[in-house]
Amino acid sequence: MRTPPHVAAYRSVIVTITFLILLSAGLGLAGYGPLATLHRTAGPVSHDLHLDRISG
Amino acid sequence: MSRYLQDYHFTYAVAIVIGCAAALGVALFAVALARALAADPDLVVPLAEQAEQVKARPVGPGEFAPDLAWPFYPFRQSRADLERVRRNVAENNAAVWRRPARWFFHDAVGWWILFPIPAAIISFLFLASVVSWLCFAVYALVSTICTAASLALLVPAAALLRTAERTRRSRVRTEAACVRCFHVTPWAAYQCPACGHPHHDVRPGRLGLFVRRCECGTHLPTRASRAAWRVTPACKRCGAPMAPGSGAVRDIRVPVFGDISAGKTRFLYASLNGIMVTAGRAGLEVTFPDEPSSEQAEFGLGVIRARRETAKTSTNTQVALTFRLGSGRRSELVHLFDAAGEHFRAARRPDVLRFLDDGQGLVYILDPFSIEAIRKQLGGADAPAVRAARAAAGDPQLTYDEVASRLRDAGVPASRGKLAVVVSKADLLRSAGLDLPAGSEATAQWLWDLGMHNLVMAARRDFAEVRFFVIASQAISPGDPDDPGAPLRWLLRVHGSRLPADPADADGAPGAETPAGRPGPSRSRSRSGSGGRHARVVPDERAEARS
Repeated sequence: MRTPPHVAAYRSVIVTITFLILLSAGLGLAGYGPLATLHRTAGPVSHDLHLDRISG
Repeated sequence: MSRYLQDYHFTYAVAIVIGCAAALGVALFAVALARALAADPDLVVPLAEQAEQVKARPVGPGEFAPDLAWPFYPFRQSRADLERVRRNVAENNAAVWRRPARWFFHDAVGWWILFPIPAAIISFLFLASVVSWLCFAVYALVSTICTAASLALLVPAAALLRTAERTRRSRVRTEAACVRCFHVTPWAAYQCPACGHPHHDVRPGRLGLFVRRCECGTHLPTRASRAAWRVTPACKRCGAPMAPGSGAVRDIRVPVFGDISAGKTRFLYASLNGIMVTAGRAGLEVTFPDEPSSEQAEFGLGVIRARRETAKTSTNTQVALTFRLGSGRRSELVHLFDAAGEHFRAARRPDVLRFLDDGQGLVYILDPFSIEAIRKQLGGADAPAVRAARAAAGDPQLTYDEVASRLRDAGVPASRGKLAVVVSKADLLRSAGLDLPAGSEATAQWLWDLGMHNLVMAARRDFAEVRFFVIASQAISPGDPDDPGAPLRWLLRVHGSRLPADPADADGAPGAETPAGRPGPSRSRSRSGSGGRHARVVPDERAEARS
């Protein structure tokens, strides 16, 4: 028996919301490592360039 | 350990492995979801839903199983989907764990010699399983919140719509009466136009708020006030098709009873003729929603208008004549029921008189020639006037008692009903030289004086309101003396019909002409039977002005 359109619509909405939540969580987790690494590597460089003293 | 964490050769490798495990977990969930919702869904079909409902709440006598229509997603399908996804995730996890579990825990315990490898694989799979179940948890949370939010909107909305419909039903007094089996229900069953399946309960609810989807996929409107006009109404008991609008418009049922040859059928046609004239003056359309009613009305009106004799009603014939007063959603369905007088002599027995039980107003036809005092006045039972009238042979009191007993036995609250006691054949009485009263009280007193005090007392005791009429079943203009339409007009009016009780009230309405298109004849304002007052013939003022 064919799936009625209202069932398909409800499923689509729920799957879309789930997908967006998982995507956000996944990107957040996946992005944390590179960002943390970037921060660690960029920190000494900024100190070397005295970027923290430009405003002063 | 901290030295390893500082080493990106180690950290990146671990991160990549963890990422792969997470990706595997997501894949396990995604496959489970795709299988549950698209490839192999657990679709709750209407038949399964109905079986569940019946199992949870068995169908009682006189009830119907829930209709075969697709339930709203949040009510049932969301649970089925959630369960199917959960089962698929469990199956997928079991599948990826099957071989490693056999390798490491059953068959090849020796693998533990190479400890790091099994530990790594088990950790990898454990992480994948955790991720897949976390994904499922997110899905379950979203599904639950969406379902709860939908229910929080749908349930109050359905309750609101049901209340509005119930209020309308009680205000307009809508019902659905079957003219085949005389079964009366608050609303009819409504047939799907595609598959013909009857939907017994079209109220807003778990099957739909504004529309429902039949098992065959066809959309049907919910609420009787809408469904009655868009799909075919049918009797819930016998399945006979009913008039469009059944269950959505005011439904008035008027049974006519009386002894053999009392003049029931002729009264029915004559009163219909009078109603049509009054309705025409009031600008209300009178139509016949079904072919048998149309044919009966055509025949009966022809008899009355041509002043021909009415044939005796066969004992096998059930006369149920339905007409629609007005048009569209504000129209009213009026059912007039008649049966051969033989049935009323044993009214408690036959089921053919079931229409008596659900009548909102009854008409009792009393043949004056069957009253002993009248016969004596006219010169005995063999007097020419009595023979010409073909008087009813039985005692009029007996017929009334039989019907009243039947109503009592059936538990019908007649004390809330209305009764019109109609003395028929007034034209024959007048031609025989008898003076007849006018007005309800005068007619009651006249019957009392003729020795019918038992009938007058019993009628007033048994019914909430009784009025007495004297009529001649001829094509008499509404409002004239002996107007046969007066009893029916009164009964229709007290049940909220738009038809004016007094034909004079219809004069100012558009279309104040007879159905044949002729202007209505000049009328005297007779109050015969209305308001319980004595008749007082007042000449038509316009006629006086013209003269």
